[in-house]
Amino acid sequence: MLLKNIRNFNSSIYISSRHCFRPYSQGNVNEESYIEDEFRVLNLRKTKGKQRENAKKSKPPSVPPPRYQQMATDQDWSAVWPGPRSFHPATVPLPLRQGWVPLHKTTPGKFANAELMKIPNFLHLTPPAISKQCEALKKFCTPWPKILESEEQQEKHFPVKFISSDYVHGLPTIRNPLSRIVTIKLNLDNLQLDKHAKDKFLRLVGERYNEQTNELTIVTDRCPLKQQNYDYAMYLLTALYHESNITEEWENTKQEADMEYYDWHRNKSKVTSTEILNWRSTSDKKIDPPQGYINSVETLMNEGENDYNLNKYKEEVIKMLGLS
Amino acid sequence: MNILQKINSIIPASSKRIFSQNYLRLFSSTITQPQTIGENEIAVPQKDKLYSRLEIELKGIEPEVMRSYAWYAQKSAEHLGIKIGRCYAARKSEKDRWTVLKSVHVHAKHLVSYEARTYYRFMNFHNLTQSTLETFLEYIQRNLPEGTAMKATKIEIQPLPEHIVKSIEENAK
Repeated sequence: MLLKNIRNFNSSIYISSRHCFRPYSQGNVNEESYIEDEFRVLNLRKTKGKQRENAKKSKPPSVPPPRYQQMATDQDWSAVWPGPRSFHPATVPLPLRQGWVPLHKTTPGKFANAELMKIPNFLHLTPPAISKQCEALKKFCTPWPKILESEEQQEKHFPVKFISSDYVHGLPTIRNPLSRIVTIKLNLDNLQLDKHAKDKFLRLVGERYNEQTNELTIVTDRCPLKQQNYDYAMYLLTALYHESNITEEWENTKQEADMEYYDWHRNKSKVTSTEILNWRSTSDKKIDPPQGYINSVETLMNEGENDYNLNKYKEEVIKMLGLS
Repeated sequence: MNILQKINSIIPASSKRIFSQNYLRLFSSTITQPQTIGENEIAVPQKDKLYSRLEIELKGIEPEVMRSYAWYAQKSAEHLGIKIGRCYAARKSEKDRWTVLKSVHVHAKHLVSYEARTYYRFMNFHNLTQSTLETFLEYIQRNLPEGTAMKATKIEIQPLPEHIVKSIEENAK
């Protein structure tokens, strides 16, 4: 009976002393052990490492459910996502999927999706956000003058075109050496040059003139700043204009070889044709070749030989010699 | 003595005390006349320049990002009343390819090729004034996404310089 009692007593001790308060023990510390008036239990197993492990294993913080579950469908989205931001799956209420996967596998969802986070999103520029921001910006804009709606009016009042470029890039510096390049375009009719001035102007300008559009293009990049290049281009324009209007003395020494077009009056054709027309004539009155013939010869020499020009020349010669 | 201390000394303790965070407001007045700093006066506002065309060239690594950005730019141009011209993208990207040796030393038979793809996109806007252009460009450029660069070409229309106009008139006489 004593043994039974002892056994019972022992078991009761064992059960009760599990719930003991042990401030300085090095045994296993349970939550239950903080109840007072209980005996301690001796645990001879290795618990130091486990205690440290358990201490290191921090419980994951209790996270509330994702925010998008509490979002109303008619909320102000521009208040939720006011500026450019990396994708945040718990804030965006869209069921997005992103990523390449091999066959028969589902595309990864939005949580912990690096691909979705890497790519720049435009969630801060939704249509209502754009219209709101543009409304705020409208007061800084001015309307285009109605008179200048058509290109002809623009050309008439503002013939000079000043073309320049600005660069936006993600570098440590905001400077870009290419932004110093300046182009000035101008239609030559605006300068009202006479025949000699235009000829001289075109010689000075060379390749910068486009015959089809009658447009002069000046590109300057020799100075380090845009403003300097613009000033230089305008100086060039002024200098060209004034220089082409001046006639130098040595320009009178222009030879036939320097002529850029065929002028009938300066050439052998005039001499021979008048000679033929006035062959062995004794009268003082000289017959001049007709204007039609002159024109046909000039077009032949200036434009080149083609069927039309040759036929025209043939007709004019027959007419002139009176052979028809 | 501090201004606040002066106020407190003037107002008797029995009356209500007025505490204003910005005490300067109590003593400031709106300036209605233009200030003259010495002999110089405030500059007259300049005339708005006129731009017949603004061409934006986008250079980027992600064509879809650039597509979204172009949509945003055109939408904001619509809102600001800017005339939208031809907007298009290059069909194919420009590819920079270079082939180098794989190994630091020897093994010239084994090479590796690298490639960098650049995608291009263009947008044209017509008939903008200086204020509109600067506002629009700043708004667009602040929202330029990562991996995209922009080149903004502005065609400004100007009258003939005055000295040339004078010379033309003199020559005409």
